[in-house]
Amino acid sequence: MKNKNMMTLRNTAILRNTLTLALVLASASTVLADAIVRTNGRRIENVQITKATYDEILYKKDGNTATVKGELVQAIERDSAVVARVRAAVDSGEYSKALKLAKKAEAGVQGWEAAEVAYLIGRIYLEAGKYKDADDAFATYLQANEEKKDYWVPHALHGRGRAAIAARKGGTAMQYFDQLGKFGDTWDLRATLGKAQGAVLKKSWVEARSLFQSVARKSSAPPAVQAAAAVGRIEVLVLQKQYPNAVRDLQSAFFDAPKPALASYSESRAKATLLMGVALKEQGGKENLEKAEIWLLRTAVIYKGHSAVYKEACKNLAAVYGSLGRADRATEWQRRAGA
Amino acid sequence: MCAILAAVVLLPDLFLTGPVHAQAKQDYGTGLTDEEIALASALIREYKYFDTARRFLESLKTRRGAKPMLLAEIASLEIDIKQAEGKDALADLDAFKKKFPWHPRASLGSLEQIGSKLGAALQKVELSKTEPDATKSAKALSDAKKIFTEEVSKPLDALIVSLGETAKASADKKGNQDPQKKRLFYQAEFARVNIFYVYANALPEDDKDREATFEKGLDYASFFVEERYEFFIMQYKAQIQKGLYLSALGRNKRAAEELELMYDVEPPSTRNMPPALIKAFHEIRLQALLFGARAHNAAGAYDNAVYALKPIMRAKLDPKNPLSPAIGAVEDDPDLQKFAVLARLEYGISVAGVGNVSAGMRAIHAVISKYEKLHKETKNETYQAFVIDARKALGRISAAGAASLSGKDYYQAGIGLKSQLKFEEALDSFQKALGALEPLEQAKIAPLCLNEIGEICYMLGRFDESAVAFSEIALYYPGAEIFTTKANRSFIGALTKAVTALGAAGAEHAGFKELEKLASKFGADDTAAQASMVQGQTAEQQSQYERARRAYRKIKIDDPTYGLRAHASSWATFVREYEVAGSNNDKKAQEKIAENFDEGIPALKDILEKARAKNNRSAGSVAALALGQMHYNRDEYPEAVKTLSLFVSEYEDDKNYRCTALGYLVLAAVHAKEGEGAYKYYVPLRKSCKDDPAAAAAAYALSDDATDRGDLKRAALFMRHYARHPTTKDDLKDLQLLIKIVQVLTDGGYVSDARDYIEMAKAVGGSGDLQRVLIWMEMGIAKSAEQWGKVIDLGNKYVEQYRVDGDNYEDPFVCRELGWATLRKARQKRRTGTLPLDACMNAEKFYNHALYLLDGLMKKGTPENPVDSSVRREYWLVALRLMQVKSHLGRNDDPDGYNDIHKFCNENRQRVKKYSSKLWTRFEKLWIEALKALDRDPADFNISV
Repeated sequence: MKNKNMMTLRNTAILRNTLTLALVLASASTVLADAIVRTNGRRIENVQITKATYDEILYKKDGNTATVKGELVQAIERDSAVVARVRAAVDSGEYSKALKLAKKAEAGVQGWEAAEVAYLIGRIYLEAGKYKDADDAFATYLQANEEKKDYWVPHALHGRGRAAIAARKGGTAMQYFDQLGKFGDTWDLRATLGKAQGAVLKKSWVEARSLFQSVARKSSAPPAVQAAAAVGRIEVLVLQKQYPNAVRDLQSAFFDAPKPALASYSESRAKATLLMGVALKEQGGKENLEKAEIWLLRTAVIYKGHSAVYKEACKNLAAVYGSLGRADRATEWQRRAGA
Repeated sequence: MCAILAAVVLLPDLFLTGPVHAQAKQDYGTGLTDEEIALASALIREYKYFDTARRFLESLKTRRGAKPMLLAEIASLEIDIKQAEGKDALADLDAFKKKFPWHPRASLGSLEQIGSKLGAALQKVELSKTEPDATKSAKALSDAKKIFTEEVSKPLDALIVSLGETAKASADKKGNQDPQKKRLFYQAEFARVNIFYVYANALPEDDKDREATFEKGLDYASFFVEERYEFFIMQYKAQIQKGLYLSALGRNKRAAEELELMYDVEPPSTRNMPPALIKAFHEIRLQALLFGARAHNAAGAYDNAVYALKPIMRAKLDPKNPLSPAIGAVEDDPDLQKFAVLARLEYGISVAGVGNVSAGMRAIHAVISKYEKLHKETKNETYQAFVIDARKALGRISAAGAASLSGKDYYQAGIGLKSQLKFEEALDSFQKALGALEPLEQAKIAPLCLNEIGEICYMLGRFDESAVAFSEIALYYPGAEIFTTKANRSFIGALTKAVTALGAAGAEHAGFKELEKLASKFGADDTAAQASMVQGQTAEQQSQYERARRAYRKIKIDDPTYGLRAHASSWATFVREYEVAGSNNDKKAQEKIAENFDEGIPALKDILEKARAKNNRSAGSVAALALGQMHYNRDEYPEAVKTLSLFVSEYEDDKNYRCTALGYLVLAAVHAKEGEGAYKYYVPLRKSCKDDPAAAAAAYALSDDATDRGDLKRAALFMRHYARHPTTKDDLKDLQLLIKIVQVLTDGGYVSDARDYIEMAKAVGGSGDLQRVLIWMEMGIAKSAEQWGKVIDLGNKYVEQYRVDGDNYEDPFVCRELGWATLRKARQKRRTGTLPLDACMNAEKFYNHALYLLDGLMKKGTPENPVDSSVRREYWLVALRLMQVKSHLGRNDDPDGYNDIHKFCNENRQRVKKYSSKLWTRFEKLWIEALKALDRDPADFNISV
């Protein structure tokens, strides 16, 4: 009996645990709060989304009901324990974790949560470079949700296009991109970007640059689309090995006095910074390599959140240091590329 | 911060010690009332009004008279004030223990000293995490571990054993131990449970000892919970610690189960509960709920955490269940506020974790808004700490990937992670923040994120990455407040470090050149000067003094910010170079370097004068130190003292150079024969720089000085300081030095300390000569301790190993000690009367040989090199002792005994008298005794009886 205090407490805890589950379930009925991210980058927080189709999003804020056109929305974030964790893992570039979470969630969710999880599975495969799986996953999602006009339908179609491009299936990609026009002007512009990527696949450099340029010049295009177009065009220059021109255009478009659309720390700007390093590196010579080093460092230091770009920067840095004869630094950046 | 943390770990629990006070009050009068203690504690801990607290305590003394308990409690609170001020209160604590040994605070023995050492260990751990230099960082961590093992863990174990034995010894016939003594014993054990957690938690996450330390602490906690059940509040608190340990070891589910036991814990009786008891249970339950929820969250069981915390997220206490805390009610209680705020934050994390991200964020943002406002209004740092805690909560959401945050939240989360020294995770968070910023937030928050990235990279020693991050602010946000006030300088600092790290190639690096161009374009007016300053400092750290001078001298002396300091630093490099040459025993190089002092001294005098006139303290302190050192190295000691004494007056608060300056000041004062004056400078040195090598060097010099002045006690005291100094551990592998330490300590009466160093010397070992001296020293120590058998053993060992023919200085003295020890040992057996014959004969043999050897030593003297006066004195003293032995032999009927006395005294009468007439009277007494025994008349020898 020497430790009577603890024994009594253990018994009480066992009794209490039997009540836990019921009470947790009872407490889960709180009103959740959602967010809408517009294509101009602005977030509309603390809303309650009542309906989300690709045509329009219907939501309540401060008791008032409002709508926003689907094509002007970049993403919606509806409160959900399971989906929030999958989204966070995707945003962090932790694709295997994200897939695990999504697969685990798949069986237990319904309605919009089930649709978003299905779409996210496709996106995870796409970002992780598993293009066949991505296409299959997007197809499964579309089969179940296209008729319902689910918000993520154009995203999934666009994803299929991107997956086809990445799998070097230009013709197939075009079929998907062609379908995007019906979702509005913004999706039409994104389709043009996809087509430009298709031209890149065919090494139709002039056509690709012209398509990218057409979007980049559209003042009505959302900033993210404009930025993607601008960096896409310059990437073609790099592929054409026109390195001095690429450096010149990157400098003027993104770095000297960028337009607001190109100034945010977006994936496109991350790519632009990386391309600056790559273009300098490829020109060779001590001076260019040392300048490349700084640009690549900038990419790694500022854009780690964009994991693919970050890894590419690390690999290029390792190569630069190798060329400069700094073996220890080369090893260090090779390590970071693999981390 | 670490010292405060350590103090908190050991802070006596008011509720636990309450009955001890009551017990003591019966014997020592009435102490302070609960209200008076509460007010004083609030003034000290909550408001930090230290002067007011002191005045309040002073007024209590005047008003309430001098009752022992009252005085003890006031003295105890005065120690609390000093500790809260961040000052060293160990001496006061020692005095307290001597004055009030019956007070509970004194009864806890050395626990507070142990707490202070824990603080030192924690500081070293923290330093190891923020130090960019990998070698220095590893050294700091290794020092921390050594401190923890040697000065925290071991003494704590010893204290626990000692308190346990005291408690055991207090048992009555029925075996019931004195509850007060038992409680103290348990308190020390409970402190150990806390100490291991705090230390292990501070260790870097990848440290190999971290897990083992947590496991050990968990064992202590489990043992306490199972076996120490008499004082239930302590037991419950140990149970909470157990949960924390399990959580720290990643066993979150188990931790949550253990903590859940405390959610509804109650005292044995819930009738008429006093407010203090209710508060104690609020604290226990609140901690259990908080840490239990945290364990659930860490295990991803957010719903369980919500369930646990939701019932207490209410504004008022439940009158039907008074022991259940309500966050709204306890949040205003200074003792519970921290746990209440943390519970709110944990609740926010749990709610976000179950999918209600916005609601969770709102809960956390509400804490940030409330306490940011309160901090602005009151400047109370506690509120700022809550804001940091809230950012840490955001950091946990970010690091756990439980939800995607907004750019602003990622930024706040990064700040929280940085404050926990989780640098890589903080970097990730700031990088994510940049990518997630809304267009309208970018201009405001992006430069802040980039500045943080730059700072963290700098701390991690990645100077190139740091410079690149700062350059991004220079390019796109040059008008941002963070850039104009801070980051512009950080940019230069990081860039200079990055360039310097490349060596000569750095100056030609095309990428860095572009950044330098950028820095000069966007930086402050004194950018170039700052760059040169950093270049100079870096070169100096790399011992490239000529390069450092060039960099410093690039700055014009009339540059308002850096001019005087740069030029003072350039002259100071000569002193550094001189010291390096000295440590290489390169006299020639030293002479050459010292030629520059001719020009340096007037230049530094001029700089010092100007700096003092302009109140430019940073330049003044550099100049004063360098000038003082130059004078010192030219043996111009009074001038050195005059200059360096600025560090005990005008530059008393200097943080960078004071320790070195005070060290030199003491040495200069010793050389200048200032006697007590030198000691005066040593006091602040030991107080402010006790761990600095300068304090050790000064103590050594002062010890030598005291020896020269014949003050053996003080010489021993300083030698003790020197020998115990943390920086002299490596020196103590030198046998010669150890022998000197033993000698000085023994001569000054610090025999027990000397014994420790004898043991160290034995372990070190050494050549024959040193070993011989070592035996001699050990004999001296045994003699001081009156261990006569040991003296004889050691003396015999000496005689066996060495020839004892006068070749070695110690030979006659070893014989003398053998003689004396033989007599003393015999005297231990026969307290009075004549000594036994065999002892006398042995002693006679040793004294005879000692006298013979001393005679030989005296004969070595020449008029030019006279023999040391102490040898002469020793000769006659040994002779006297021999005569005394012979008198005992005579009394033992040895026929030669008295004859020898008579013969010696008759022959040496004039010589002894000439040396000392006083000494002769003692010989004469023995002679008279001998003459009488021989039936001779003393008058025949002109002796008047």
